[in-house]
Amino acid sequence: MWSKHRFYDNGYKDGFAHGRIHGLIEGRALGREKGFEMWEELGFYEGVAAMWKAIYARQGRQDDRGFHHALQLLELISQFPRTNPSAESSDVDIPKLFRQIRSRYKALCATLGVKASLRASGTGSPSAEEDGTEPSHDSGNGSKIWDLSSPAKSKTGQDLSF
Amino acid sequence: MAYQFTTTADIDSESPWDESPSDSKHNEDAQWTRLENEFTTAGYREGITAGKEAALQQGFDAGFAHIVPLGRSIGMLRGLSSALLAFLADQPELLDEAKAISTQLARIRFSDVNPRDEEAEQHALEHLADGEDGVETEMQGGEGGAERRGMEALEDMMAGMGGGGDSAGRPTVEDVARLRERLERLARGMGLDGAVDMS
Repeated sequence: MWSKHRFYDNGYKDGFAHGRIHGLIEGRALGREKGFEMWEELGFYEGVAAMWKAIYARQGRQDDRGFHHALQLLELISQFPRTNPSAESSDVDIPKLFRQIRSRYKALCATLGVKASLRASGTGSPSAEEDGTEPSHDSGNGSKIWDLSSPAKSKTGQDLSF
Repeated sequence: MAYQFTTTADIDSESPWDESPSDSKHNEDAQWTRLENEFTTAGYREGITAGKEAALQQGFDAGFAHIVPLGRSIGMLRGLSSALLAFLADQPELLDEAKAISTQLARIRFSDVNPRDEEAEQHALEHLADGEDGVETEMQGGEGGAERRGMEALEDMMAGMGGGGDSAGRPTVEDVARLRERLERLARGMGLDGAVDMS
């Protein structure tokens, strides 16, 4: 019996080391994809706000409503985490912040009389985003922001919860 | 005499032609080896799942933090040029350049600018050396990534860029840098260079 355990343990140890490499590789690929997607969108709003802020300033229109929308949009985006915070350090309500950013962006566009384009890249589902619902960003789990839950069930980790 | 008999049996058991079921030593060895294989394999299977699960989040966090500056920077270029485009609507002499920049920025995909994961490539090579395959999809974003690449290949075909779905004609990180310079030049000419500072 003892030998059986030894064989199993030796196999487990080797398997764990190998699995770890695959977990890191797969996790990195998923993290890159998600991080790029989120910050490409946030960066877009940031760029729009920065440009209009400069335009308003250049025209000496710092009292305009649009200028203040741009400032507030920049402020909200600056609060958004640039890493995936662990449960203990996370005190930001990410879905809420994301909603605030999107609605502030829409307010800026409305003030400017410009059509709001929520995604520059044209990927994702703009209609869902228009409603302010974030199908892939929302979850009941507010403690850990980008949490890989039960990855064993899904080989590719598609059930990332936010 | 008993000693003599055992020796003969040992020699016999090493003979590949001897498959006599009555040869207990041979059977014991075979069973032992089979047992070792079975338990080692079972342990390996469970270990690989557990190891993967244990490291997935760590990999995700690392990949996330690594890519955010690039995603933000491309998003910002798009946002800046989009705002400029709207602002320049009635200034045709500058509008064309803003449009050109904007259009080219819109063509960029994550797969065009996603840096190589050298560790993943190295590990895939090790698998190839072992005569395995199937690691490639994992390196390139898993099954979801494969699906997306399929869609992108389709888009390329429909855009008349050739049916290979390869990277020929795709924008590169260098193209992004050039587009940034063009955007900076355009903004500077309008006295709006402060906006393009992305610190």
